[in-house]
Amino acid sequence: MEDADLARLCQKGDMGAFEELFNKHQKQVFHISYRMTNNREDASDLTQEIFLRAYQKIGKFDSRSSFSTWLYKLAVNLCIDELRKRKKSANVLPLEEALANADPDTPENLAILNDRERQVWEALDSLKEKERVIIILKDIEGLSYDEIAKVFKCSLGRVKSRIHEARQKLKSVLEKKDELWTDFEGV
Amino acid sequence: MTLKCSYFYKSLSTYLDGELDPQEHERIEKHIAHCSKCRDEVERLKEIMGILKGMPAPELPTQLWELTRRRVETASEKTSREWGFRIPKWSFAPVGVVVFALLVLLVGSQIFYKTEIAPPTVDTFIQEHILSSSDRIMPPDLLSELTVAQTVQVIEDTGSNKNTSELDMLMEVHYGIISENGS
Repeated sequence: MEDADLARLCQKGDMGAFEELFNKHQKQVFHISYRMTNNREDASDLTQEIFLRAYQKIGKFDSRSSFSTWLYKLAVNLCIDELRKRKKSANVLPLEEALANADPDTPENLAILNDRERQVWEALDSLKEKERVIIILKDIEGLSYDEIAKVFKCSLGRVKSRIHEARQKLKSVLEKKDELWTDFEGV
Repeated sequence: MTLKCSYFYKSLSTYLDGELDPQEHERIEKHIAHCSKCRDEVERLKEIMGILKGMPAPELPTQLWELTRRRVETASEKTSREWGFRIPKWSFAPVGVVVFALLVLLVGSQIFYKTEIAPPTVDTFIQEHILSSSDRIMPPDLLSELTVAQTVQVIEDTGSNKNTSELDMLMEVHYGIISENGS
């Protein structure tokens, strides 16, 4: 069944339809939450909260638009709010600590054994929330320009410049971190 | 970086995403074929994007649906307890709009009626006329307590009425009272 049909059923209180929507989108919502928080437990908690909000706000969803874009917008807003709250309460888990606490057998932890990947991960972590989220949506989750424009409710031109700016920022953080990135001579 | 490079620089990201129109795409390809700086820039961005794209996806936690369903049910039960029956939270929005509209109407009508000036009664009209044709100053609260006849009496007692004939005429028209002067 299409998302729009499931959303319509969900608007009538059909929990089965909501479960189906959850199964279709949980992976991407969890990934976004995880990339934003660097913490599995927080990402799990955020994913539950995002779907709870989706359930509570489903009445406002216009079934002519894309459910996934609507859901990602909710996810992005909640993740950014959560990170800002943590910054205010100075409860940010440093990446080093997050990695130390991570399960060593998880694939994401194995990935950081590669120096360059680790540097990119750390550089991404140092960006502002809005810069980080656009990189996550475009380069990690693979959303199109059009989808990102709908998530942020902005023009395609604005999306292009935001992606350009965020990538440039990421690159400059990497160049400051290590000469390896400055003396690049191609792959 | 040459002027030409800075012109293309901002489009390199979009070029790598394949989101440029074919003509612009071709122009950049021609440029980077000859410009080593821009070529390096493209390769650097490509590597960063490649690493980001290749980051292993985290595994989903177990029982994520169960946890979410429980959270949804707890929130719904809380709403039910507060309202006595189960209402999806989003359905409060139209109710809120109706309540707000009713409040606006109520407050608006109160303001309207309060600001509307009640038309003067015949008595008030005559009293005001009497006073305006005399040099007597009378406080409004005292005026409202006196009848027309008493007002006339006050003015006559103080001997300050300047236009008794007009006063007699008004009294006769509205009350059928003919004063001693007018008889």
